Amino acid sequence: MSVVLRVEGIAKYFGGIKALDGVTLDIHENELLAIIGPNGAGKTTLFNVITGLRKPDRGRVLYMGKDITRAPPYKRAQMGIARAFQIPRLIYNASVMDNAVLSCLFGGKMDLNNSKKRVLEVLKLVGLEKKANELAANLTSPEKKLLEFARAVAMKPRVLLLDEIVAGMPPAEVDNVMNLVRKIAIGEKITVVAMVEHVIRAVKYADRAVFLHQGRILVEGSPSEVLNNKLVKEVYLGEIIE
Amino acid sequence: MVYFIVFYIALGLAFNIFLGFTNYVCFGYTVFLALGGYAMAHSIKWLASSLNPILVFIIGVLLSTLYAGIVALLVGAIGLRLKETYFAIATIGLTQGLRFFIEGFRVWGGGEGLIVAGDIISNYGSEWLTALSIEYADILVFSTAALSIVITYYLLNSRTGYALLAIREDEEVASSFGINPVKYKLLAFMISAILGAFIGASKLLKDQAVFPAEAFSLGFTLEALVITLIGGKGTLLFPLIAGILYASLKYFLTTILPGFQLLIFAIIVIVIVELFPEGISGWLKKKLRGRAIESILI
Repeated sequence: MSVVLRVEGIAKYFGGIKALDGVTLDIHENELLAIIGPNGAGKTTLFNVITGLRKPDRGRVLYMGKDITRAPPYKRAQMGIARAFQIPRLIYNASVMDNAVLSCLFGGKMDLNNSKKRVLEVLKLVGLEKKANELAANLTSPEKKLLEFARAVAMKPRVLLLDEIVAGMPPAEVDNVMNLVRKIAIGEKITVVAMVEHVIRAVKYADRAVFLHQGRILVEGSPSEVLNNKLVKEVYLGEIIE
Repeated sequence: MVYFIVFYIALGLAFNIFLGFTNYVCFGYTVFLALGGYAMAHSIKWLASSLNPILVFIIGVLLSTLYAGIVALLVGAIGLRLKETYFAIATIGLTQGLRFFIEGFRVWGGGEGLIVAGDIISNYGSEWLTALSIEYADILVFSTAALSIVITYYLLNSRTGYALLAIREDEEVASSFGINPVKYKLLAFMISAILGAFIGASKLLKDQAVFPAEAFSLGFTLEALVITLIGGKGTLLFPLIAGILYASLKYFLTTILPGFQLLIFAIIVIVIVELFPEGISGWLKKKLRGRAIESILI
């Protein structure tokens, strides 16, 4: 499988805190990769470095073999890297449609008509098509999360970074959302990197998982390998099971 | 009086193109009016002896575009990478800096400014003095207001408008979806600056002179800010209404209570900001949500 995105020896420090301390990771074309790890493990920082919102202190980011470490965020988006934020950051006084049209227009480089068509298509996939003309502010919290996800999918990204897509959701909903993510990833041929809470429930939907702890990748493998790893159980899952 | 009203409509609309679409305040907006004035004055001073007045007028407008465009580009390319507050402060510096540059280095007439009435009379005769100060000044300020309306309408309904909307809400998110924030902010800034320069150029034709002490005062920036606050940011119709309102009120107040108009406006602005934080437009839109009339509010 070809590597679509590679981070190489990434380090990022905030004062004395090592948010990322030499992370190297290959992300393969069309896989669904889950990133797990406790709070403060450096997951969000890793996403910020990949999307360009933060510059790493050391290391490189390679996208389809090209060094993009110094490329500004908007260029990376235009190249096909999309992101959904953990806490939805929507334009609340604009319609659901307009929120998603934005990413098609600029990230997806489509014209206005095609953008609107594309958005309707994606809203149907996530079940928000009836709310297309609603103000984003009037959506329920789960709907806002779905819109955040749909907005990122709409621009037809090659790589999609999902920041805590199922955080705060009830268990039954976790299965629905992860199923949806998997379905869309396969249907749209999108490589997905997802940080997930509800680890035991959510990770099985991934093709591969990595465990990030104190800014380092400690374990990498199939979902079951990672979940059954002694170290993962000890430093992470232990807290959850007990 | 009509010129006076249209002047403030144009000022509100032109200023709103930057503030309303980006949330950035340019306290140095006066600079662009001043540059427009100087550009028109230069065109007259340099060319009146060799070209006919209509050409001089047209070149003056082009020169305004050039002066304001270049300064906005330089200031914006650096300043618009800053956060809103720092940009606002930096642009106050721009006003003072440019004024002291002109006065201190005695360029562009230095502290005495440029007076063009004599150049107009000696080259074209006094009937052209009247024509330029009445018809041409009016035409210019009217066209600027009209142009501002067209541009605002376009921005509200275009790809660029979408980009500016996203940037205004959340710059990080906008850039995460492929929008180059500096590019679009710079575009809005330059458009707004050039329109401001046209207003300044029309004012020069009206006054036939430009003086740095007056041209670089904060006055016009504050007035533009008041109009935008009254009307509501990022809309088309309301800076228009607010411009009319402001101009009529100012005219009225300067007649009956000369000297007190600023004090009274301070109170009006406080009341507006307290009662209608989103301006008249925001308030009306909330009131009329869901009714048919809402769709015509732009």
